[in-house]
Amino acid sequence: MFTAPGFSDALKKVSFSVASNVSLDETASAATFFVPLTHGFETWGDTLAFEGTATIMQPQSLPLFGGTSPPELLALFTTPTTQNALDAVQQTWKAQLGAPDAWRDALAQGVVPNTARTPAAVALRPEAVSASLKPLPALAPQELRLVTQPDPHLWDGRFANNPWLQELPRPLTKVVWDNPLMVSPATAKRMDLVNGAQIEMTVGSGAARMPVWIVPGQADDVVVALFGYGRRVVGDVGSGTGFDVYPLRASDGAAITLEKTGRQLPLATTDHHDVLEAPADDIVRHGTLANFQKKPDFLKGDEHGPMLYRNPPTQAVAWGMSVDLNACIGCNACVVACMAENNVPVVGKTAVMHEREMHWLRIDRYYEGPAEAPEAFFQPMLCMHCEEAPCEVVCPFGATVHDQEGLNVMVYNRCAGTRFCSNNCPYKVRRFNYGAYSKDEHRAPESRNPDVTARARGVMEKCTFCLQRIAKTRIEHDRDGTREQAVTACQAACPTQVFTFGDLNDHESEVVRRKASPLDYVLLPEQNTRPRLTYEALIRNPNPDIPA
Amino acid sequence: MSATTMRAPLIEDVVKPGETVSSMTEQVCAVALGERNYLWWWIALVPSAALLGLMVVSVLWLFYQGIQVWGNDWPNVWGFPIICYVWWIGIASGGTFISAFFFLTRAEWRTSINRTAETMTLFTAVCAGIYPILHLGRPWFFYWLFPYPNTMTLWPNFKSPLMWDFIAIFAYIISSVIFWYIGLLPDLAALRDRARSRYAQIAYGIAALGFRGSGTQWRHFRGIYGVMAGIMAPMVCSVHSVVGLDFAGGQMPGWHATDYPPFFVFGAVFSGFATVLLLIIPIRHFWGLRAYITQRHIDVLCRLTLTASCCVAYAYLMEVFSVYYGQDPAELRMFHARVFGFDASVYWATIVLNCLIPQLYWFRTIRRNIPLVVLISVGVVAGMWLERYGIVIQVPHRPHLPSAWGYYHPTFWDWSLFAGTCGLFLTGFLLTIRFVPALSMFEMREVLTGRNPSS
Repeated sequence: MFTAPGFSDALKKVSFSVASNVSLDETASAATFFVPLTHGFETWGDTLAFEGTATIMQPQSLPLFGGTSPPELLALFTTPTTQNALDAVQQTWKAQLGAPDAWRDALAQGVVPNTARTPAAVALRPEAVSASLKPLPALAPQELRLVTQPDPHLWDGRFANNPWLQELPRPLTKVVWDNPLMVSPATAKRMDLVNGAQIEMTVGSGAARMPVWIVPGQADDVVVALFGYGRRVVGDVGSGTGFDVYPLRASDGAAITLEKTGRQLPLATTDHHDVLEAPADDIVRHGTLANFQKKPDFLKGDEHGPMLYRNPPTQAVAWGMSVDLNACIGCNACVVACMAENNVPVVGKTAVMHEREMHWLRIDRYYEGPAEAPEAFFQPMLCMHCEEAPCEVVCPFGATVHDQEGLNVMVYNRCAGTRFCSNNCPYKVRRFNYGAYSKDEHRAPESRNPDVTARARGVMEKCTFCLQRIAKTRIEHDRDGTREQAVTACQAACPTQVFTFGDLNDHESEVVRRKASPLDYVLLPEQNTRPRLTYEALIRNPNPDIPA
Repeated sequence: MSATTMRAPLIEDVVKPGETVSSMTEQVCAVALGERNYLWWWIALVPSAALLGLMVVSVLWLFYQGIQVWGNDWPNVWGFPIICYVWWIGIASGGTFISAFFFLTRAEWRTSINRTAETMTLFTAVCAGIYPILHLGRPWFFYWLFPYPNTMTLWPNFKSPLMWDFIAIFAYIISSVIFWYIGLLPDLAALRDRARSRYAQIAYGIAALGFRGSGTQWRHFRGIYGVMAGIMAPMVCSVHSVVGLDFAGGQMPGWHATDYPPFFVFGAVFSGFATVLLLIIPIRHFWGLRAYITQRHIDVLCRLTLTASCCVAYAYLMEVFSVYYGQDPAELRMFHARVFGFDASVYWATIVLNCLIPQLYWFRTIRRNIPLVVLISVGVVAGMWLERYGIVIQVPHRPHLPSAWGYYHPTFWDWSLFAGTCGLFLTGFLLTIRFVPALSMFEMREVLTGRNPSS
């Protein structure tokens, strides 16, 4: 009902309707009956992969809150008697699997072997593409074209009740908890708009009011509206966030006009700076392929300045990380993985507006060049685990110290919250619990990682390089002498393998190989922090035929 | 009368001619012993106590909600509490500077105002002392800063400037209380002897710690007082240097500067002199002490304020110089945001109030114009608050990485706690000048005897 605006009127004409879902939504609340479904992890079932391979789903737990599973519900409609999900699935597959052990093999393997479909031979019909491209109606002066797109994190709205995704900064705008209408800098200048200014958008006979957000690099005659927000019935987290764009979807591509209402609406963003002023060899070091070929380490610079103290002694294991800026696409998957792994609390829109978000890992987005056509850069930013950590010196309680493997660790019990460590961190990766954010989340204890402490009010926290995973590999090493190898949560979640983590003393490790790259560089080397995390500089190969 | 008496003499007397030891003692004791009209005192006390009540409410709310009630954010993890802490401790330093440093130099004008200056130090230091504790995320653990023996054999981190700060402030508050109280003993004894009510006699008698004015007691008294003054005078410089190191010890562009310790000492005594002016002007008026706190004192304090203003201006100039001489890009970005950014008015107001307006004190007519002196002093006190706003708030707006830039917005509870500590200061100060002599009587007697041996 939420994604198809005409559906609610149509539903009124039906005298009997049943909706089933794992949670209450707009459709369910309008239907005559609502059947609560169990989650996919709580029931038997079967499903197909993209190429047709069948898999049999086993429940991971008993249903936490009761409910009916899809096979049981379908059986109710199709057979005179009730049937449980396991029987229904077995009945479906018994004949197809044949041999008695095949069921157990299929469960063990996770897939039913040899069930992939044979690809159909299809030919491309280029003329179909050109035939489907209808010329867009011309724009009158002062008119703009509306483009609608799904929200990058909530998608069509199905994830609207997920607080991690709500508070996950949008890749370019870094806006959270909202879906403002995105306008180009030139449009904003012409109409004298600032971020958060409310506008009235007129599309044909309809109109909508929402705030705007200025996006550098967006085409001048286009406004972009993200749908997926504005859910009315979705749960405590998502209801009433953002603006419902679905009624406008039919007008995708249509000409619209904007008018300022003069009101300013509060929008939360995790980013408060303008176009990057720093030079190309400073923060996000980047250059062209041509320069790289001339001198591969042209972006390296000085790694360390002179030191008064001797270096800490090297131990058996020295953890380090390499972050490849060439691979980062700014998708933020690592950020949400970090929140899940480390029980990082969600603070809510108001607290983000107070600049109190808690993300241990953030993706910094920088622009370079003119606002009309800038180049965008992404830089994952997390604790650098400096060998000469400025945070450690200034803590009067000794609440942040170095461990024997070179990790900069936080002792939450010892922290009384002077916050000097955050002031002294050149990378600003420390986060402070201004409120009792973990406690206020009202999450089921089962939803947290049991290996990670939930932090109390008044305590500083930061990235630990997933210390609990390191502890696990250390225990395995002590038990059977296997090589200590850990994968951090961000590394595991990254679709493009930006992060490489490992032991710097193990000369065969991938992280050592990566750090040997001529592109390897230290962020803010003049601070003399000797970070264990280094970056690999970004190399781009711009096509000379495409004007900047 | 000759023409010379028509014009005010270039150096005026520290006491009005004709005053005697007994008239002075009579007038000063009358206040403490309840023999005067206290209407203005009540008018001042009631709103001050109300503000103190507001402070209690603010602190309770803070303990209940945590420091999310304030405007502190990321990157501005330090906010109003640290501004106000530095501001209060700065004012305190000015008081000690007058009473200890000018005791050692035997400046005769110091005698009339040292009690006011010391009392001011006492209560401003208390206001300053509570702020860093309230500022903690978990204030109930502040005692972890003590190097006390504990079962985990943990020491505080002696490398941390906050540790030095804790030691410096703790030592300073204790020394200030002792210095103030020792200096009070002969006067408390005098009040004991003059009090008519039995309760007052007992109360002042206990407070006087058995001081009877014997030769041995005076010898011991002078020895201790001299030693304390000798300790306090350098301590003023060390305390505020350490406050400066709280910032200079950090790596933030804009804080990481070797000139911070002296720069902070200049600013501290500057605001202290101005506050002493703001306190002695009403006291001499309402307690009828114009004969002992004369134009001379106001003139001297104005000159001191002017001197400190020039020192502060020098520090500001050096700050500008080091930014441009150093050419560190992060520091340049930070400084340009401070000077030309959206809240640049704070920086320029600091310059005008602290450096430009006090230059009026070069003119004698201005120094003799009481309303103008009050206005300029209020400007200095406000200007020094704004200076700390610039240091604590505006500098962290612009850390090294642009992705961490941010803004700061104080909340109602930031302001209410600040107003509340003003209430704490005023209430404490008013109660003190009501019940103990506002002038150091025993030291005044020396001045009066020296000037007017016949008395």
